[in-house]
Amino acid sequence: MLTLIGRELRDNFAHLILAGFFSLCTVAIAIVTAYWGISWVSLPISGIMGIILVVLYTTLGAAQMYTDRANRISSVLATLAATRSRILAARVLAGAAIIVATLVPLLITAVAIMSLEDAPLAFYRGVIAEVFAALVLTSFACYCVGLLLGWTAIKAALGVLLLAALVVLLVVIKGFVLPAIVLLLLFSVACLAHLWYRFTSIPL
Amino acid sequence: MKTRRSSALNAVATGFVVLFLTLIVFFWARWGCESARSKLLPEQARKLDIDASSLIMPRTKEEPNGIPCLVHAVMMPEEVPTEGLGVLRYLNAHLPDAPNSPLYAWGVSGDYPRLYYSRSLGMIVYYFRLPVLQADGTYLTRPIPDGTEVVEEEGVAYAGPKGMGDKPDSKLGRFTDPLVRTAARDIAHQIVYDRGLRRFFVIDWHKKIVRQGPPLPGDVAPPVDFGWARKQSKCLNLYTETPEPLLTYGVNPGRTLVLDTAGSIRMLDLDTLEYTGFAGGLPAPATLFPSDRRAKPDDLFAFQVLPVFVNMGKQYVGCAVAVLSRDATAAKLEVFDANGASVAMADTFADVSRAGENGSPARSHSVPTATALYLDLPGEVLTGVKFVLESFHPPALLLASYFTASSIEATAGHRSLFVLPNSFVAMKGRDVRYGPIRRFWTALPFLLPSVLFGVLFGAAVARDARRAGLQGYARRLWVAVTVLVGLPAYITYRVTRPKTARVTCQNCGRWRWVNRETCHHCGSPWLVPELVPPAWRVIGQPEEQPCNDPSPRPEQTISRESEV
Repeated sequence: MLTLIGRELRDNFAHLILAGFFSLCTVAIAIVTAYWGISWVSLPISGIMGIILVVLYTTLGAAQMYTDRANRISSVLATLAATRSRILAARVLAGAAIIVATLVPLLITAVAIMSLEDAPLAFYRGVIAEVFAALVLTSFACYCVGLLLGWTAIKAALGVLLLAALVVLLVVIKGFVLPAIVLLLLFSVACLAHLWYRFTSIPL
Repeated sequence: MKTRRSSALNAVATGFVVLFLTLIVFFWARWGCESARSKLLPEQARKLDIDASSLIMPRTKEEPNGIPCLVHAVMMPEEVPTEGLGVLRYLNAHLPDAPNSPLYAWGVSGDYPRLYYSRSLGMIVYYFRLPVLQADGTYLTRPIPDGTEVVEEEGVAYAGPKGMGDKPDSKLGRFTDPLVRTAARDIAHQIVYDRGLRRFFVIDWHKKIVRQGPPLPGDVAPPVDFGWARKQSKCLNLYTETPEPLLTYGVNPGRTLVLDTAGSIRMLDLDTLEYTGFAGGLPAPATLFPSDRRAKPDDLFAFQVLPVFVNMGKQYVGCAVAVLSRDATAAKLEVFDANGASVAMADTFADVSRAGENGSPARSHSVPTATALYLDLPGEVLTGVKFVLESFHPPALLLASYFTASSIEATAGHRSLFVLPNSFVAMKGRDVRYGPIRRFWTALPFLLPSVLFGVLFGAAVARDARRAGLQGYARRLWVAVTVLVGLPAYITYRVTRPKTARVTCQNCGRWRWVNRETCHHCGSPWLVPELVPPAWRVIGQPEEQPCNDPSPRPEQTISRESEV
């Protein structure tokens, strides 16, 4: 399993680097604007960075599945000692690891800035947790949309991004509240279940 | 069996994904409609004015008709679509000065005061810099070159229901769910209602005392807000215009207004912390299906209760109450006198031009804003679009909207995906003018198109499923789900229906599945040709007649000619 995850990470190294770069850019913007006390500037820029990150996660999922489908990677791997379920699990775990690894720096920065600015961290702990959970789950749901559409051979990039935008819009509708988090979780699980069915039932 | 279970799982998963995405698309289409409608109302139709001079303001020698006082309410429906979105609501709710934030004041960069409710301690904590109060009741001063200045001390105090201390102590008790409002805009003077303890408290940080009121009687609805009670104040503005030095709170308020969950406004005596009388109620705005009953706070998108005090806050003369309907199409302003009697009210009206009967020229009519926004152009077009969108909503969810219409809070309805509390069906569900049966009967025209679409989609699924050869129970299940869920179920069916290879049936000539024993149309089994050798042969010479004679055949002599 670890070998499969490692292989997925190596195959999608470009996405990891890009997502890491934009994540660090967001961190840098947050630190600079907090230092200069111009937090109103950081909000729109962070929003744009967030959109770029979500697009990256969506394309990561689509790229993983499309590459597999085009090059028949899983068909080859399935002839070895790896089942399709394990291949898919490794792929999803690798994607989730990339998402978490690139979003955790944002969380650490937010907590650090609030601590330095003498903000009431005890009250905003819950807010930070809710916002971070919603952010991670939105990213993961968009990644799942990418996986789904990458496999179903919808090559129109616009369609993939449109569906990812719909997922992001759920958070706009509901806010960073528990119902939104639950819905995102259910949506991700449903996407993965559908993908698992299609991925494991395809003939060699 | 495993394959069947996997297929069912796939159908459920796909169904959820499709439902989720479809409902988000529907939501934004409805949001666009609502947003466009909110901009249709002209400026003058958004304002409500009541001259309260002779109604509640005291008469003087100079002003025998009462002190001039105009009460103005302005609805701002264009703010509603944005304010209704969850993300803005979430961010606004977590600002330090948000109405229900546990952070009542927070001086940045170490500044004072800091006042908040500590959930872990169950106490209200106050970091202060206050004048030092001496035993004789005066403040401690110290000389400075220009005179004297009051000495201030920094400290922290913890207030529980049973008292106040410099350190958190279990003897002080615990607040469970406090609603805190600052009295007379003095941060050192708080009025608290604890939802768990069902009591009012007054906290005086100067005197370091906590006063506890008696528990509220069981038959009295719990308070929602007090002081200057309001909800979504960005969408509804209420103010007075008077030369009198009018103070909403007063300099030393002895009483305050309390709005409860039933929509009643009561007067609370801050000395005894008991209700002293009825002060008013929330009026119901003239919506598309108006109600003559009082509204509840949860029924309204926005409201404001403005107490009016005169004589530097010593004399309470009445209050003004403005409300904005759930769908932000109508507002109402009502003025109550000091005894809680309604003295004036006004609804929002808009002028619309309508053609007269028998082809007479169009005349201007004044109609309630809700009617104008829904039934007059261009709102009529938006109403049509809204109706079509609601008709494509899953019928089961639309029916649920009818039954849950009154139980969903008004602002929550603006970010609702599954049930639609602002749909026409739900509006009828809240129509209290009729009994349950007549109400449901009148809601049917709004519900039937959705059901009709469900049936049409169900019929399409049934036809396709029969052609595709789905088994009876699977076909019935798909049809039932499609009738209940409508378009999303139909899309799910199209996405997940079996795609096994099919061949022409040799018996009936229609497509049949290759993985079935029998044809799902005619029930014919596979026609396997018997392996019988044909009666004909292709050879180079005439075929010999079979010889049935059991005697040995004579040896064939080959002539010289045939050898050549």
